[in-house]
Amino acid sequence: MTGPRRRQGSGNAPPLVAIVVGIVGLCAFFVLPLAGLLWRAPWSDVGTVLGDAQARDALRLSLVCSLSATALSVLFGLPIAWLIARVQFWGRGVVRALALLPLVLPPVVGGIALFFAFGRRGLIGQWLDRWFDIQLPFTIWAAIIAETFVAMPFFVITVEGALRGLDTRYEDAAATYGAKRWTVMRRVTLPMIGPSILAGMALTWARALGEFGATITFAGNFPGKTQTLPLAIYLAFENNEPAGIVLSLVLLVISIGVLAAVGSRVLGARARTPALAQ
Amino acid sequence: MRKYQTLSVVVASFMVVAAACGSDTAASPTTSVASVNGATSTTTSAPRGGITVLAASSLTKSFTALGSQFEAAYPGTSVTFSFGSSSDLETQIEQGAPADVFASADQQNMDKLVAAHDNATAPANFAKNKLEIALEKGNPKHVATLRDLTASGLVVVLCDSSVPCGKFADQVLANAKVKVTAKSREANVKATLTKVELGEADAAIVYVSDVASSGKVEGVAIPDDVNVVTTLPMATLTSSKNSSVAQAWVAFVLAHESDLVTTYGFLAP
Repeated sequence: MTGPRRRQGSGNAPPLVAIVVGIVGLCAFFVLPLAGLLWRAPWSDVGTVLGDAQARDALRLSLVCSLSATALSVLFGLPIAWLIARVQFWGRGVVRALALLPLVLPPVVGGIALFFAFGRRGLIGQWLDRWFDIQLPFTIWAAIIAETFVAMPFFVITVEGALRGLDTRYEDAAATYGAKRWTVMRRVTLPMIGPSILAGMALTWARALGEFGATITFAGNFPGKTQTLPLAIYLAFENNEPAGIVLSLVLLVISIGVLAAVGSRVLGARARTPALAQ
Repeated sequence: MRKYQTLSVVVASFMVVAAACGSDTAASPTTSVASVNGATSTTTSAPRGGITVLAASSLTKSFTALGSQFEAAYPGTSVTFSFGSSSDLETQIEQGAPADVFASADQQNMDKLVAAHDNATAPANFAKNKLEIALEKGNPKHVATLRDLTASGLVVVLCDSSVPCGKFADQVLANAKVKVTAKSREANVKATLTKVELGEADAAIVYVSDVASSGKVEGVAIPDDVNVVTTLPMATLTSSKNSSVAQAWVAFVLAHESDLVTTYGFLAP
C-alpha cells in the first residue's frame, strides 16, 4: 500500500460518494421536512395568526426565556467547562458525564427531576417555599431553569472541547511575562476560544428556543406566563389548527436567521485563527 | 415488554403446532395447521395476531389491565396501547398512523374521525365519565366546592382547552359561574393529575375515573347540575390489518363495561 497522496492547493474536496450521500442526507433530513411544512402552510392565515395576542406572547416569552437560558449557560457553563478541561481532579470523568447528562435524559424526565429539586416538595424547593415563600414551578423562572437545564450541556461540551484543543503555550508565555491568572484568562484564553464560545452560545440558544418537554412539565403551560412558542405550537396541533404550522415557521425563520448569521461569523473567525496564531 | 413476551408465546405455539404436524389437539381455540400456513380467513379460526389500540389517556390503567385479560382469553393475540390526548390520537390517525382501534374521551374527536371516514365500524359507546376535583390526600387546603378553587394562593391546574378534559372543565366552571385562574393548562389529563400527585398543585379538575384509579389523590364531587357527563366511544379503523382481533377487542371491552364501572370509576354507558 502506498501512502495517501496529498494534493495541495485544490482544497479538500470530499470524494464523489460522500458528496452524493451528503446531498441525499441533506434532502431527507433537512430540506424535505421543511418543504413539507411550507407545502401545508396556510399562507392566507399568516396575518391572522401573527396578529393573535397569544401567539405574540408566546414568541416574546420564547425569546426572553431562551436568551436568559443562554446567559445562564454562559455564566455557569464557562467555569464548568474550564474545570473539566483544565483541572486535574479525582472523579473528573464522572463530573463530565454529569454535566452532559441532560443530553441523554428525556426532557420530560428532566422536568420531573426539576420538580424533585426545586418544586414545592423538592429538596431545595420546600425550603424556598417555607422560608422565603418562593414557588418556582409554573413561573417564567421555571421555564428559564428548564431551558437552561436542557441547553447548557451544548455550551459546556463546545467550550470544553475548545479549551482542551488549545495550545497552552500562549497562556504559559503570558504567565512567564508576569500576567496574573485572571489577566491570562481575559487577554489570552477567552479571545482564543472566542469563536467556540460564540458557537456554543448559538447551539445553546437554539436548543433552548426549541425546548418543549422539560418546560411543559416544570413550568406548565399558561398563555402569557409560561407558554413558549413550542408549547403553543404543540397545543395548536391538538386542535389540528393551521396556526401550528404558521407558528412553527416563525420559529424556524428566527432560528435559521440567527444561526446562519452566527455560523458565518464563527466560521470566518475560525478561518482567521491560524493566521493570528502565526 | 409484554408485547415481546406474547410474541414469543405466539412463536412458541406456532412451533408446537408445526411439530404436531396436523394433529391439533383442539384443547384451546388455536387455529389448525392449514391456517398457520397462511389461510387464516376461515370462519372457525379464533382471532390471533397483534393489534394497536389508540386510547385516551384517561383509559391508561383500565385498558392496560383489560388488555392482559384479553390476551389471556384469546391466546395468540397481543394488544399494544398508545395512550394520549384524544385530539392528538385523532390527528395521528388522520396522518396515517398504523392502528386498529380508536377509543376517544369525547364524541367530538370520534365525530372528526368518522367525518374523515377513518372508522371501519360504527362507534360503540362503552363508558361514561364525569369530572371531579382532585386534591391532595387529606384535603389540607379544605376545598369543598368549585367556588373554593378561586381562593387566592391555591395552585389550580386544568387541562388545556384544546383537549377534551380542558374543554369540559371550562364548561363545568362556566355552568357553576366560577372563574378560576389556573396556574397551568396541561396537555393531557394525566399530566394534569400528575401535578396534584406530585404535590406541586393543590387542585385540578379531572375525570372521576382518574381520581378512582390514581390512589394518590382525593376527589371532591362536582354537583350533577353543573357537571358534564361525557360518553366514551370506540371504533375499529379502516387502516386495521387485523380487523378480527380489533372487533374482538371492542366486543371484549363492551362485555366488561361493569369492570370499568366497579374497578375504575367510570359510569355505565
